Amino acid sequence: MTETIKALRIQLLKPGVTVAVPWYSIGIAILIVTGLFAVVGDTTAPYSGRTTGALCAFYASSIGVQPWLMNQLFPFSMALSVTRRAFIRATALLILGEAVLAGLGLALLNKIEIATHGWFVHTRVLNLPHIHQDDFFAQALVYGVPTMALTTATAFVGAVFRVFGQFGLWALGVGIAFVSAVVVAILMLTHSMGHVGHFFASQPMLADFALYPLALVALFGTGWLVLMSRARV
Amino acid sequence: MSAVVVEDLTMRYRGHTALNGLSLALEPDTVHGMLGRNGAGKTTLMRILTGQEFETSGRVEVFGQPPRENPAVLNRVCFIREAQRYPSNYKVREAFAAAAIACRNWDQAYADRLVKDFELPRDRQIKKLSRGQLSAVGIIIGLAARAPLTLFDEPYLGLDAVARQIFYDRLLEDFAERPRTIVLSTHLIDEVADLVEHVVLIDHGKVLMDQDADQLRGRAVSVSGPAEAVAAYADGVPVLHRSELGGRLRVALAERPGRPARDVSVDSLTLQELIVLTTNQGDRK
Amino acid sequence: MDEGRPLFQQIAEQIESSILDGTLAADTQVPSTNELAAFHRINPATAAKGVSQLVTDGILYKKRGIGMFVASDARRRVLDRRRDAFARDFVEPLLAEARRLGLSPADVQDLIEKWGAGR
Repeated sequence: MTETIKALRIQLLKPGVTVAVPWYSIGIAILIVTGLFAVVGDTTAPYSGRTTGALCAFYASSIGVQPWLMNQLFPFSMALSVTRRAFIRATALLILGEAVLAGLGLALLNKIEIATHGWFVHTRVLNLPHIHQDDFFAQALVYGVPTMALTTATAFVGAVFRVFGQFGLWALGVGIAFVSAVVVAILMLTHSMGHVGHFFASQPMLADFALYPLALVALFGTGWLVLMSRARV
Repeated sequence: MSAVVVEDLTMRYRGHTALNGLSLALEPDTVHGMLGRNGAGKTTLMRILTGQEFETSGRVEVFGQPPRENPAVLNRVCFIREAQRYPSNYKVREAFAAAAIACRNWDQAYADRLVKDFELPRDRQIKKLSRGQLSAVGIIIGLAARAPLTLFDEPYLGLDAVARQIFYDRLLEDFAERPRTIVLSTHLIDEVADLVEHVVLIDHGKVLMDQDADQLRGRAVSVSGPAEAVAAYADGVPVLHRSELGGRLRVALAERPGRPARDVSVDSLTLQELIVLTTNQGDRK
Repeated sequence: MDEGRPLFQQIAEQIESSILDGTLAADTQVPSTNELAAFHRINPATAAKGVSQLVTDGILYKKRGIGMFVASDARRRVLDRRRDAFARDFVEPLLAEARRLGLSPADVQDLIEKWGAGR
């Protein structure tokens, strides 16, 4: 355990890189959006009409962290005689911790957004129409689990680059494109595209945003573990 | 007890045999020079000793335990590689901060002194450092970590002669005060000939020579003179190299046979010459 | 340092030379192993080997916890040893070469007197 803590402390040595970036992004996004609508004025506009995609900034800015960890901090940690196991455990802890932080933090921002009637300018940054939950913790799950799925996926991509290099990334990209093309083609040919859409629409929102992303976490997490256990430095 | 014991170590990677049944024991509290050509297997051996790579077969023990994923061993080990990579967005001082977290014996005051010696800019980003400054970062981490087993693999890429001398001086100084097991892998054999106490020569994944450095000194000689006289003098001694020109013969001998006959001149070989000749001879076999 | 001979031997000889020329008098402390190592830029273990050889030879003695000191009869011992070495290293090859050139020991003696007087 002390080894894992050690590895985690090294990962958190630059919290600005490992933790804070998405929070800067969402903060700036909120500022820009509210500033924009404040200039536009007309605060009587319907609350529902000012939905923005600013939340994407949060997710988009968090995709670089894991590849950095896998490709820059991992070799350096190994040089400092951190064990592979400790590094992997620390990374898993970091991913989990960041997801919890993202869930609770975004849910809290969401509460503020609702309480202030959309940051006083009737805008929707977090309280998006399809993901609203009445329960605070359910809302946290809806924000947090997709975050975790995303970071796990980026960790996997980072590990692919670590192990197979540029070619691995290329093969992964082509592979994903090919598999999706095949899946879409099958769905089209069997006229079942609508069924898929209908399936997800008919599921409880919590399942769509928490349960299925969790399956992605398991999938990418396993792939990541397998790759990192054989990663060379 | 030996600090490092390796028995019949083999490492294959993607069809390439990097280590081929290598056996070696390294005494504790000694400066070992690990010599050999590029691709001889030195780096692979050091990576296995420090748990960065896993052996295909054989026995590896560091401080009496296998190093593989073993914190009890790795906590006592520090390995600075040739062209060691650091997170590029780190500042110099952040690399040291990470080392301070990881290395149990880290001495920050000593690291600060070394930073001054090497005139390293603490607040500069790693990616903006010159090649030599980057090497200095590794050297400082390796020295200030004060790990019971410290391995330097060609640590001075891009470092000028003055900075290298600082490294040698600091290494000796600190080793004298705090003896520990140091492995120094290098191609600059003559530069380290006086520093190392023990020499290991690795070639084609095997140990070709495993000797006390001071014993080697002056033992191997280059003998030249009239062919007959030289041949008589060198009789029965292993010949490392021979060349002949118009009745005159020059041979390199692994050992000095004794008092030379008249007209035969005997010169000592430097460690570097000896290593080169031994490697060549090993390659021919 | 000289390439050709073991470093520990060279360290021992340098200390002997200092004893001979009086730099290191009887019962004075000799530099520590670490000082010697740092000065000559050699491995401390090698320097220690040179020093311990002198201890074995009775030229230095050890004061526990303080360091190494020059034995009271060190200078005489070194002198004896150097004189033996002088005969072996210089006189013997000198006479051997003289023989090859057809010079008798008496001729050599003449030469020595002649050249020595010229100095």
